Amino acid sequence: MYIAGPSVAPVQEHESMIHESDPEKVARFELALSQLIERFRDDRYVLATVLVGRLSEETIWRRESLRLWIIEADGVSRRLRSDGNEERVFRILVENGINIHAELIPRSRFRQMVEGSSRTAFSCNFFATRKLIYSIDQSIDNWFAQANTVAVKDRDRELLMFSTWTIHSLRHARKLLEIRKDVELASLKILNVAQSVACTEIIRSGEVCEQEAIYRGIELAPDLFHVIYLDVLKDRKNIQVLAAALDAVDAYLEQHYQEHLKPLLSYLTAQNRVVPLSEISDHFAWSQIYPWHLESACEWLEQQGLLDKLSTPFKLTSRSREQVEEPAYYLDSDSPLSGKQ
Amino acid sequence: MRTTIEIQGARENNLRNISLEIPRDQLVVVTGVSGSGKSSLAFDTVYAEGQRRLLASMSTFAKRFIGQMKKPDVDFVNGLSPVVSIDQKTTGSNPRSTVGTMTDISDYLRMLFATLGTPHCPMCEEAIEIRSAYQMTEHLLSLPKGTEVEVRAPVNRIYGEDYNYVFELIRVNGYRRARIDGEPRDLGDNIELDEDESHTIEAVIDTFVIGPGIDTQVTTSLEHGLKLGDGLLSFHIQSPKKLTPKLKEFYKGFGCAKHHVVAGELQSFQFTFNDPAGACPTCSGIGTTMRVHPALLVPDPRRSLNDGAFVNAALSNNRDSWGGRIMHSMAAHYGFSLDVPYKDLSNDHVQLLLYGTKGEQFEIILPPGAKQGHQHVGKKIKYNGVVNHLEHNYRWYRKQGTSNAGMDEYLRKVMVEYPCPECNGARLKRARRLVTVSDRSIHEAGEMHLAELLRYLTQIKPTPRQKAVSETILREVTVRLELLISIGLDYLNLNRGSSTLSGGESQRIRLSSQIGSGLMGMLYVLDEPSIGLHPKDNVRMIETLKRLRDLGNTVIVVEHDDDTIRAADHVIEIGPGPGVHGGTVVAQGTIQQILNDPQSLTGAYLSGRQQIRVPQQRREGSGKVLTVRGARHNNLKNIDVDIPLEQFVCVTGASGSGKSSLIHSIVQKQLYSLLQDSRVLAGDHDQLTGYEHLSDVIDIDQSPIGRSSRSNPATYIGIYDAIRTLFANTEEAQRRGFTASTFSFNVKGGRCEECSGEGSITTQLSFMPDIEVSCPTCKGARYNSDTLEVTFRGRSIADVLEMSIEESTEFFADQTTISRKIKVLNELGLGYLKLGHPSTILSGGEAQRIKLAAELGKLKHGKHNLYILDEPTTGLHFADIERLLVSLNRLVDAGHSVIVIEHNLDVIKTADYIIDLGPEGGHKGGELIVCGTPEQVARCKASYTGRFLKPYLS
Repeated sequence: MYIAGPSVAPVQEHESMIHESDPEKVARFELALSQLIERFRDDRYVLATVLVGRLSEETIWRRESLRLWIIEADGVSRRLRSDGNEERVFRILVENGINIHAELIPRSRFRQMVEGSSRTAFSCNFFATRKLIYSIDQSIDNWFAQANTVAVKDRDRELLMFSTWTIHSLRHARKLLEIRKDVELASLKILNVAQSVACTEIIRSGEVCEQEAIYRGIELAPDLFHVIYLDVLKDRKNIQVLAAALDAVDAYLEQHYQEHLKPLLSYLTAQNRVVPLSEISDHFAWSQIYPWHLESACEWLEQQGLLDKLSTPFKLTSRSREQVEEPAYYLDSDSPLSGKQ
Repeated sequence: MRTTIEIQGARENNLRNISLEIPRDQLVVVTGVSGSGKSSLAFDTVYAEGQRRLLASMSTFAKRFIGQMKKPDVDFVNGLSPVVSIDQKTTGSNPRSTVGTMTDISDYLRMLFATLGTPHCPMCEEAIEIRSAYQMTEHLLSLPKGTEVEVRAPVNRIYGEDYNYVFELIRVNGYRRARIDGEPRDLGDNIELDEDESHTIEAVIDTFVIGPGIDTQVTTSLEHGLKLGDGLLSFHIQSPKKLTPKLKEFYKGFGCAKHHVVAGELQSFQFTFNDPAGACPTCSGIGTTMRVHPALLVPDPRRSLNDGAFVNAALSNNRDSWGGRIMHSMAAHYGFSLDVPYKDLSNDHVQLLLYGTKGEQFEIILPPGAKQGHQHVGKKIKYNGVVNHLEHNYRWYRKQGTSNAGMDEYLRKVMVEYPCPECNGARLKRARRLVTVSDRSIHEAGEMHLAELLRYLTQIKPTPRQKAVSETILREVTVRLELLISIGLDYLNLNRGSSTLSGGESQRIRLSSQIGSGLMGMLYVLDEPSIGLHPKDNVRMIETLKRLRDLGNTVIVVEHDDDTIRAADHVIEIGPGPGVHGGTVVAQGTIQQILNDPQSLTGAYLSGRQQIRVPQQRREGSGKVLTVRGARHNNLKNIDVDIPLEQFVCVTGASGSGKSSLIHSIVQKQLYSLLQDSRVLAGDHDQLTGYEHLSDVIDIDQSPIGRSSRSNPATYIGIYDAIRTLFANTEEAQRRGFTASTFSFNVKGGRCEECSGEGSITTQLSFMPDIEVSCPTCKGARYNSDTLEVTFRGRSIADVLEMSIEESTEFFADQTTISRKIKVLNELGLGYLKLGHPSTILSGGEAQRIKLAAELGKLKHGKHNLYILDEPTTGLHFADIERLLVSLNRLVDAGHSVIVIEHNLDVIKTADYIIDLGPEGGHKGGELIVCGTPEQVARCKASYTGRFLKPYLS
């Protein structure tokens, strides 16, 4: 479904893009893939192969090559000088004229990717629409099946991450619109907000974010995205349309903040004291949630009257004797917000 | 082949261009009065030149990484061997250094445990077998094809952290599934467990379906899993569910019968608390943890909260700080006054401040006059209390894994060390503590006294397979232990921290390492090895020195001890006096030659021609007594001790018998806590009474009086300010507008700016020793020419600093304040020192006497101080001891009390009262053997001190 398609003027197709029909292209890619798998069958060190992304008639239009993960046995990695110090090993292969971009992953690291938390290098969304197409190791089959379920904690963390991005961009968009009265820039910012909201909606529905998340977002919450995306994309942008979009996002945040900001609220409840922002940030370190995002979330909660904002002393350098103040937030653990009642 | 070390033209420090020959392969004692130049000869000339030549022989590349030594001021030294110096310096305060690490015995013990150790199941503590990852793989692959096996690693909870922290830890290590009390759980889910209950947590490492070609991945996976499981894994057949006899066979002899736990191969590094693989995760291998001690938060309970009763760093009373706001808000809410002394606050209010409001909210109000914080007014908050807040900060700080001197200092102010709640001081993680050899863990072995440890090691029975390896390790450990025991250190244990060792103990440990090395042809230079040794232990020390000599080494000992001098093959006496009065060889030869030499002061004392006399009459005392009840610190056996006041009291006993534990850890610290600073925590005891008779407690030790070359005797005893004022009051100084600060070499104005008042300039060369040259501008005078033009009685301020104390006594004779203090220094035998003698090059004995002089210089009537001295005779010749006794007796005569911890029988015999502890060191000591006058002690048959003292009194 290409919702934005009809409003776009027809584009002159480039010569190199008109070769074959989508079904023909899919068949050609599938043939290349099966030929490669046949080669693997004689190699006992190749344990499994995962296709990254789909080979469907709907999405084949954007494909130029195949992307694979090749899981190899431990301790047999072949490294080239061109790999440098990078831990990950990428190889470009070719089969049936189609280039194959493959990442070679040792079994033990693959297990870590599957099982490790989103605090490690890989987030669960790496496993979205990945397909195990070949395996000679039963354990890998089991892991892979498990990897397609998003852990509750990972889901909560992703929701927090996208929500803080939403809040952060929303604040900026509101300033552009209400203070600078810059409709063009504000609309661009709102489109960013819409992207974050789309990701949030996808995660809420138990799925994993993929490319073109906005399409899935529209499917999941058509009314909301009509206001915050489609209306904003329309030719005639005006302050009312944009303000309505911002209000809609605000309402969306208000409606869902308890679920979307759950890790932050749980943490503050458990602390049951005034917590400096640096400590909050430390708690969420390595989860791609940065201090300024947390600050945005805490400020938003404070503006809603849900948190108390205070301050605590902070030493700027390890040798500083003088102290400056940093924001600190306090959530009453007996309040309904804390979830204890 | 050379049989002597030939020294020509030695001029280092006060040595007067002396030349001499020292016989090689002999035990040589260098003696002489304090400051005569003994150390200048032995350490600054012989050792320094030997070391310099050794380092000079290294490549230029190597020289860049090692500190280079300056060539000593000597024409030449011939016949030197590789030289090792064993001095009295204690080994720093690194909490990770122990007797075991210092002696390398811990390394061998670790190897022993890695080789012979039997691990135990963490759940049922049943002994389990050790298997390498390959052996485990082989065993797994013996299962029928298609069998599914789950491999789990037991994970322990970290003390003070919740279960979620453990789950996060497992996930960060790359595992998402776990079994909690046997139930499979996804760690990505929110798991709520009862934090007060104990739960078994096992991370699921892998699940294998047995088949061909999986060996490599199984081994790799097991190796990863062993890291998370601290060397333990468990294997569980998942499919088929019903176990056939063949499958049941899998568990037989493979791990613990109940939990199927198998141990991986043990490595020696897993038994060190300095490696994360072995260290207790709660205390990071330190063995202790810090907790806030509420008494330390309020140093002076007589102060009110408004007056800063709390340590500022813990809860500031500043009206613009959070501390100020919280105190004011709580006072208003709970109705207490901030102006009453802290001690008068009700217990409920104190509990609120210390441990928080327990969930109750209060409104923030600002203290009167506050300029900041208006945005917080009216908000309602809870407060967790100073103690909880600080402990939270401490845990957060420890988690950061960084060290910060400022933070350490702050924490030391308000927190005290307690044994780690998880390892209880064992420093190792649980899995390591569960590895035993002959039913003892490595920590238990480290807690044994060395003699007991030796017995334990000799009864170990290795299997024939282990024999070859274990014999080598046991031989190395046994040799080292026997050496340590032979030099009287049998009471120590391997876990004892280096920082708690005395200088003498550290020296003897290093000495044992040298003997253990079995090298020959070496030159050893030792500084007073008899220090800290009871005469009975000293005999063993002398035997050790002879053993070192008999191995084929030359042993040069700087020593004053009677027995050691008599045991020497060759004695060199430097003198005759200290400082400028010394620096020459007074006598040299065998002990007999020294005894007969009329020039030798040492000979005079040893032969009895001259002696420290036993006092005609001993002081009766005033009847006032300081009483310690139930002393139990370290090895003290719950003893009660009466210490008579206004007397000269000696505390004696074998090394490690508990003298320092009684006097320093209990008496001194408790008095300090009662009279000066309540933050000081004394050793374990029931009660100390009689302290009301004392005004102050003063410890006079041999630590340096200053760490900077800008500190000197004149600044320490406080006469330099008066001298500068004298110069500032001269007509010339007045005319030029100079003030007293112009005559300071520490501040800009009158000092030489080229060298910043140091008198010398140090040039650093990359692979050559640093060069220190006299400042070209002031020529070492430290002042600029304008300042030097001002004179007092014809001498400039620089001349005064160069003046000896002896000379200055006459020069300042009419200046009462200055002369009174200088006279004391002179009377204590320090007349040879210059007023500006840098503190950094003072000997321990000199520093101690300067401290004594400072005390004697400020004697006031009506004050009753208790002076504590630990082995004040260190570095002192018989003649110096006599002077020291005079000054100590002056203190007692002035109404003060003196307690001296001492082994020197010449001092003990002059005491008014002796407290003898023992009978032996360590666990065999800690009892009060006898107390009374020296004559009474000499009559006590149970007292070793009495036995050795007897001949001195007759």
